[in-house]
Amino acid sequence: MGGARLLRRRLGAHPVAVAAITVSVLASLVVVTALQLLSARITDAGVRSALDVPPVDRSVVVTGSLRPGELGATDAAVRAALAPLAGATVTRVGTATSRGIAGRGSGDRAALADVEGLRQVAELTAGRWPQRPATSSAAPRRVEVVLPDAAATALAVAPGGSLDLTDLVDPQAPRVTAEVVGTFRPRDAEDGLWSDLPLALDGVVASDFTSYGPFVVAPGTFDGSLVGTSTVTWRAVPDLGDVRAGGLAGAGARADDVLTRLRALTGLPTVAGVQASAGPATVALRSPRVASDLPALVDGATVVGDRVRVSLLTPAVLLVLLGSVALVGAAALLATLRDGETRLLRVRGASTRRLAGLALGDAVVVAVVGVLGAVLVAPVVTRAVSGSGAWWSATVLRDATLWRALVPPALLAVAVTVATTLWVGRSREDARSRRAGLRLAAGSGLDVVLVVLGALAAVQLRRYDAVGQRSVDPVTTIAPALVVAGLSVLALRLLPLLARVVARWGARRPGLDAAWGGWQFARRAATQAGTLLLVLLAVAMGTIAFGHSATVGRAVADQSAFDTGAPLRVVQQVAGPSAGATGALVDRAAGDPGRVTPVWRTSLDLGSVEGVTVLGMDARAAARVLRPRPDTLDAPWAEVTGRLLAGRDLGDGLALPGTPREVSVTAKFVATGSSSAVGPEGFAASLAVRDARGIVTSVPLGAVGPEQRTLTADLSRLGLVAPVSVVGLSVPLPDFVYFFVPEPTFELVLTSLAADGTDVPLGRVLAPHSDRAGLWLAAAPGRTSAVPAVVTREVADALRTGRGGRVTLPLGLRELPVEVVAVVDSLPTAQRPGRGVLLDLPTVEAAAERVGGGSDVRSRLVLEPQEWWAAPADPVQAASAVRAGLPYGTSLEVEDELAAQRLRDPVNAGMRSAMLLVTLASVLLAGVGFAASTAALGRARRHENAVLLALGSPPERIRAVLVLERVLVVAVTVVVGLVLGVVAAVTVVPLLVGGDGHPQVPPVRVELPAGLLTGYVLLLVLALSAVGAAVLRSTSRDLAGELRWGESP
Amino acid sequence: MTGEPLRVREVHRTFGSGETAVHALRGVSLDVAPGELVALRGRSGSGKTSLLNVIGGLDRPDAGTVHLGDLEVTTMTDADLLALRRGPVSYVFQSFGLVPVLTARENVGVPLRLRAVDPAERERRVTEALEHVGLGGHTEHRPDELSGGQQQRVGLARALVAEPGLLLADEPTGQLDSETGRDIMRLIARLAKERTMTTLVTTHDPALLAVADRVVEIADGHLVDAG
Repeated sequence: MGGARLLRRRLGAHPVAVAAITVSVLASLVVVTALQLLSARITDAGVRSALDVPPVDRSVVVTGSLRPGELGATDAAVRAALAPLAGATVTRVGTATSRGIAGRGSGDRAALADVEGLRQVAELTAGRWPQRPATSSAAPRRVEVVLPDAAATALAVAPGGSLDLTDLVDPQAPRVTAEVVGTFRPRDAEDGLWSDLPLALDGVVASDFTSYGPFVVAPGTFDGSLVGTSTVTWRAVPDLGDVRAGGLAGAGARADDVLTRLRALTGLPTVAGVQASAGPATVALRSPRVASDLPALVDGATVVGDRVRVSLLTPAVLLVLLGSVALVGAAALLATLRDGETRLLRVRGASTRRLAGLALGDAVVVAVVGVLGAVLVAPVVTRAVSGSGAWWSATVLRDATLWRALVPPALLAVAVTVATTLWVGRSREDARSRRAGLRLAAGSGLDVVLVVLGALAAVQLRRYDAVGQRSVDPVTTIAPALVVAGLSVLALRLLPLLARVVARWGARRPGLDAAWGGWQFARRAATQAGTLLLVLLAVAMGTIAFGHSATVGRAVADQSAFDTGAPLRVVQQVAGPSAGATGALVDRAAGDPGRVTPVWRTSLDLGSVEGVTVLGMDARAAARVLRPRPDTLDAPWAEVTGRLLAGRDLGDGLALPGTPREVSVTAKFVATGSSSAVGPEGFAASLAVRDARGIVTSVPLGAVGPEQRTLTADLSRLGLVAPVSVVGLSVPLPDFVYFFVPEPTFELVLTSLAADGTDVPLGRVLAPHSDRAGLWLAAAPGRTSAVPAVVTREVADALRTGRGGRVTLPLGLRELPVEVVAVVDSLPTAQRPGRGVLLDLPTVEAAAERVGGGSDVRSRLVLEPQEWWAAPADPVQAASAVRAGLPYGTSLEVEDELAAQRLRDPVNAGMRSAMLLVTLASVLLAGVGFAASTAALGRARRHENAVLLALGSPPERIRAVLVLERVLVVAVTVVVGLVLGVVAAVTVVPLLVGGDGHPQVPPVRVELPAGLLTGYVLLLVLALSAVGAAVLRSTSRDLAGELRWGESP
Repeated sequence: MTGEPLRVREVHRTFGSGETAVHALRGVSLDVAPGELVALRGRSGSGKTSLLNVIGGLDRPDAGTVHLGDLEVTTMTDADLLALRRGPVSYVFQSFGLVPVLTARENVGVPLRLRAVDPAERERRVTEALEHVGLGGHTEHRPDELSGGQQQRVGLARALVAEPGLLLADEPTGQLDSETGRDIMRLIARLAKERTMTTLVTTHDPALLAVADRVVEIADGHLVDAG
């Protein structure tokens, strides 16, 4: 008989068993291949996501100081060194010492900047771009500048206007006239250039001095003699949009190369691992600094890529294990069915090699069918799961990933099939040695070894989070499989003990059923191994998949909540006159001001802790707006905010009726000394008002002069919430006043105050004060001695403090004493999640005034909120309302939208789909394997069952006991599988969730959906029981034939 | 239970149909007296086992009747046949028919468990049966720890423990050496006599026929010699 014909006849003789083998191989190959194809796509998506950071975080920055005439050569050399970053956008920002502004207060400063690349990142709102002054050896007296809108508004200057800038170091130096030729506004506040010129976003920054600007001159102007030394920063922002996982090494090498070149160029030690010595600088850059997060970013992306790969490799390994077990079951069934044929062949002299050859032929045919099926189906499955790419194309045949994924498991399938066939044939001849082998395996502590190895691998897996852990070691990859295998062998050892108890109980009873089931289960545990493994793996995979899905949902929600801080967050990124309007917009959209808190933010260093984010907000509203995860707090959130509010004492204020749209003030100042320097135009004044939230807003009032004037403050756009009160009126005095009046004796006199035309009794609420910086009227401040603060654990630990401890917070020149009232793990929106301080903003403002801070400090510290956090009843509607009216320079972040976007992230969505795919495959393989092992079991028991029949046992009862035995095996194994699944899920899921490259703050908490899991395992038990019953029903009823089984002729 | 008379009349049994039909029994009639040990001799495929199966209710004849005492086996329902095999009729198989994972004691106890006999009574009878077949010292051994002869003794003890009226033994020595086979046959004969048990044994080993009260030859489904 020809080989092909023989193969066809052999395979056709037992179609059901051959189909079981084929389904096992095909399902395994399709899913493993699809996982690998998916892995490549998800890895690329993960890498893209990891590299998709703001420009400032992927920049290469070179900074140093230059003197006039040195810019040209240095600029060329730096740009040449940056050249390997092909496609990078290079900007250059030069800043110089601030100048005074003639005619304004002594604390007002003009910041000059020489910017190359401004036109690419900003748009003109009026006028034109500046031109360089005519070349001259002498310092120019006039220079063209452009100003940000906010600065121009604050300085009340427009294109065509000018300002005289004074030299703060040398008062005798000639003034420079800044001719304002245009105004601009940033296009994108996240552009890297603004991190070198942050003032451009605000236009005005008030702390102890008030800086205006930047006054941007034409590129290269600083290289003349306008300024002395300037600080120049080059920033190269590479385009990483096209970098895929395969290109990371190249991108990293280019970054290292550029940094090495720049360090060599500037004479810095080359610390990139190439050489550690510093050579002479070849450019004239003084105090140079070369910095970049790019190598760390590429490293991080590599870790993300590796993590995604290992994350998908883990279920693939589990699936291969499960597929192998199912295949062993099916192949064993086929070998059992062919038992007679095999014995006949042996009797006729067939050698083991000949039998192996026949088995190899069968296995290769099945593997080829599996490979062809996988090639056809796997790309389709991948497309269906990932939702992107082509359904199928011939190019897939040239995809090395496909073949790399396909060939090893196909070869494994061939090996498993052949080995099982030979093993079953041999073991039937030598059952005693087989049992001895199993006893040896169980007794040798193989289970303990596997569990210990699995536990060690799991520990290693958890350490994988550490940045810099780049390698994917085999132990890490197969950790879950090791744990599963170990626990399975352990279960094989423990389950018979349980069965023995049942058997002993049954043996003492008169009937046969309980005793029979117990005996069979307890004494034939080895034959249950396949079933055990299949069910364990299916349950474990399901637990991991459902756990992963739920955990991703939870983690994404947590991280989105952390990133936005509240369901809605509006951020004013570019300063403008619209702050109050923005607040009012959010209030209206939220429908209830109690669901909105303005947020003030700053970043400062606290002792040795750098970059601590300080958030100030209305703690009363924060109790409703913020919803931090309870396990990150040391007390319920309501209690934490209650502690913040416990210290709130805002002091006095002149109460205004309702929510006034305007306040009219009749005031003057009285100069009791020489008043020759005080012109009739007076000095700019501002009114400080506090609304129901307790937050103080400073409103321009116009100029207060020596004669009585009525000035009006427009409150209509401030978004104030009633009741509103006036807490101060201040008049900063310019320096020149003191130049002419050495002993100032000014006093501010408020005659009347009206809100929307209604006179407000003044009483004695506002008391006069004055010093060198100005004069003001102020309500009595609060008596809070230390501002309650919530601090993060990292900050508390670094400052060696805790709840009840006191620390000092530097705010400008004030030293604000704060008392720690709660310690939390992290604060939402903090730049470094573990470094944050949360304060009640009204308390801070009131306390800061009381604390004071020296003669240069203004009368009242006004901390202008730049953000509004809201928790509206209907976030979707509120977001829509806010979005419709969002002014320029502000952005809206919606927690739910961010979460939805992240759930759609290719990594998260792909991983969820992949895990569910693996679970479906697990169930399919478990079903096939269970059916095959049940059929084999039924066949193995047929002779015994026939004997029972001959002894008078009803056939339906025999079958019922057998089915019950299988159901019990499945049920008990499901319980063990659930435990195993939970262990595996807790180990593996955090890694799978962390694959999208986003920082996991707060840390991932594994969620196991109890209801879903219960439903899943019940369905599994029912489905497998039904399969078992159906298979056993089909067992032979040829009683007489069975009774003669094994007889000699 | 004491032996019952066995009466077989014109039993026919055909397997398959058409050209491939195999006529296993062609009008077999046989009487066996209570306590009598009849050896049924014949070649392989002659119809020995088919006749035993029909008598024991494991198979139904196409025609003819089988009476055991007052019971007509051939008209019994399936449930009655099961009850028949749990009580009046017991089997001994050529391949012993023992459950490998059960000890000798547990194997022997199976028929009594099927009848839900009180555990204490069951254990007493099992011990007695094992002692009767000479295996009092091997009660906790599993089949693979026993020799072929010992395994068949366990099979015999299992058949006897139910105290049947009719013992059907199909080639009980077929897988034993001749010396052991003779021992087993002598044991069957002794027990049949002690218990006045009607016994029908199939064999094609002439050396073992000596212990039988009567030998019946069967060939091509016919009884050739009933003397």
